[in-house]
Amino acid sequence: MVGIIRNLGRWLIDRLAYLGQLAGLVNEIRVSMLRGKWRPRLLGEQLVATGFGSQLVVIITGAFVGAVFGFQIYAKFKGYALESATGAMVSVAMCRELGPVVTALMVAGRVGSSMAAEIGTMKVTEQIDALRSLGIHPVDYLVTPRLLAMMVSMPLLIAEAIAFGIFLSYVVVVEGFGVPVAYYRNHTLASTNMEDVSIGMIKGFVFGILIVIISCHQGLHASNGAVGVGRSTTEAMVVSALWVLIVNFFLSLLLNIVFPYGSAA
Amino acid sequence: MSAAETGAAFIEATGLVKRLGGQSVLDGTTLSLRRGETLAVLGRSGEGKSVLLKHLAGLMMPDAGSVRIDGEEIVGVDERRLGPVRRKFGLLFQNGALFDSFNVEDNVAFPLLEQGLRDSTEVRRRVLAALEAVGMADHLMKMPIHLSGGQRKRVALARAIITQPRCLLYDEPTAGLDPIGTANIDRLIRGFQERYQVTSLVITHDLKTVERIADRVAFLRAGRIHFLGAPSAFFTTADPVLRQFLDGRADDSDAR
Repeated sequence: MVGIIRNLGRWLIDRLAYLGQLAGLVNEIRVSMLRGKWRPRLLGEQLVATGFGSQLVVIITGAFVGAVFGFQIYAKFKGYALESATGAMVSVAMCRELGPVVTALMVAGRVGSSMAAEIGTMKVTEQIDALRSLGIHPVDYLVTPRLLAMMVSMPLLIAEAIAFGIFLSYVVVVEGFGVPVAYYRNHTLASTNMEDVSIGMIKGFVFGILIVIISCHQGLHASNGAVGVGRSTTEAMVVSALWVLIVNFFLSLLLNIVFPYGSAA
Repeated sequence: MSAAETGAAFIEATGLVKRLGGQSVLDGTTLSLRRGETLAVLGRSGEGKSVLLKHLAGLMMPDAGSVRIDGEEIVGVDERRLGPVRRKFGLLFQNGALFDSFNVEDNVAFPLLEQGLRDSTEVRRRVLAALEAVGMADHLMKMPIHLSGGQRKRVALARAIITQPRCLLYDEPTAGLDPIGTANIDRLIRGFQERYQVTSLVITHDLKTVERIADRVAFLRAGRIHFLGAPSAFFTTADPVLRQFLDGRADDSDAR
């Protein structure tokens, strides 16, 4: 019994310490943005690596999620003679939920793990200490440019995922199953408004920040050589993905209050 | 008025205490580095020499004690305020710690660019001069992964000296090098000291290196400075702990 309480206490202390470290990192980023040195070259490199470099994977993911969702909705709606409403369902779901979440999960896997691995390797090979010895704050040099790049990239990547998801769904349902294009298009446009798109963009922005903070924190706290870097990389991906899913739920509740369904329809 | 001007030590560590992983690494370590001298710090593996060096450079903070660099207390100072202090010295890491996404030229130019030097001709001139000083001017475009251990250390040395710091801290600069490579690095260290009157602290296991470069020797044992004095006194000491180290004798328990 004592052992269970001790382990529970240790687990709780570890979690609190983790949250404390995240809060410390967030504060350092705040200071860095206000007072740190501006490094446009690093920002450009990160925009290319995180934004431009993620496009293909995000487009393919968004397109096929949209396609399969469209197919399933079509198959179900057909029984109620509502197949022309498939586009409306796909479009709203892609904008509000599927686009942001699947994009964030793919970016957590591709970019988050890469950030943790790169920064973690720099940590265990003393490259971060080398930066510090040159009077450069690691958050200024490694974290802030990545965060700014992600804040710009994520909403755009999500927009791409949504657009390609809706497009491939259209191809499947209209071109593949012969749903009249006019009905499909009209239902889609009538049901999708700026609020739906805004929700996707806001979620993307928040998820981008989450992924960078969690992944960079994992990298900055890597230890024990290659094994430690491997663990940090995996943790960055898993923890980011979990936080994306949990935060998405609460963000959906909040944003549905701010932008209720049909508010601008 | 700076410490140098008042004749005080360039780096002065007093009563450093540090526990890592529940073990005491530094236990009241007191050490000062005089301006213009080369101090060799020796000790058995795992005695905390690198930890001591990181404390002297402000890269680690002690649990208790004080570190003054050029008269300025750095313990408890915010990381962002340490930048100007850290730029007073160059640090050579054990494995070089070169930035592996940069080639040799970019690694060596990095401190200059970060200090705001924008004249690319001047940057290149100084990079070439630093690389020539360490015999690596022919390797400008190579990536660190394609360099040998000794070459990496020489490039890291060029990066450490390019801003012409007043103090150089070396963490095992000759570890893993062949005797000729070791002699080359020793000559560079001595050369910098003689040419620029740089204050140097060298963490090493290599007794030949101590003979070649040191003005004073410190021996770290159980988290404290066990010996501090001239190399001649160090090499002729009768202290049993130092004699075992100097003679390279195995521990009694290991020998059995």
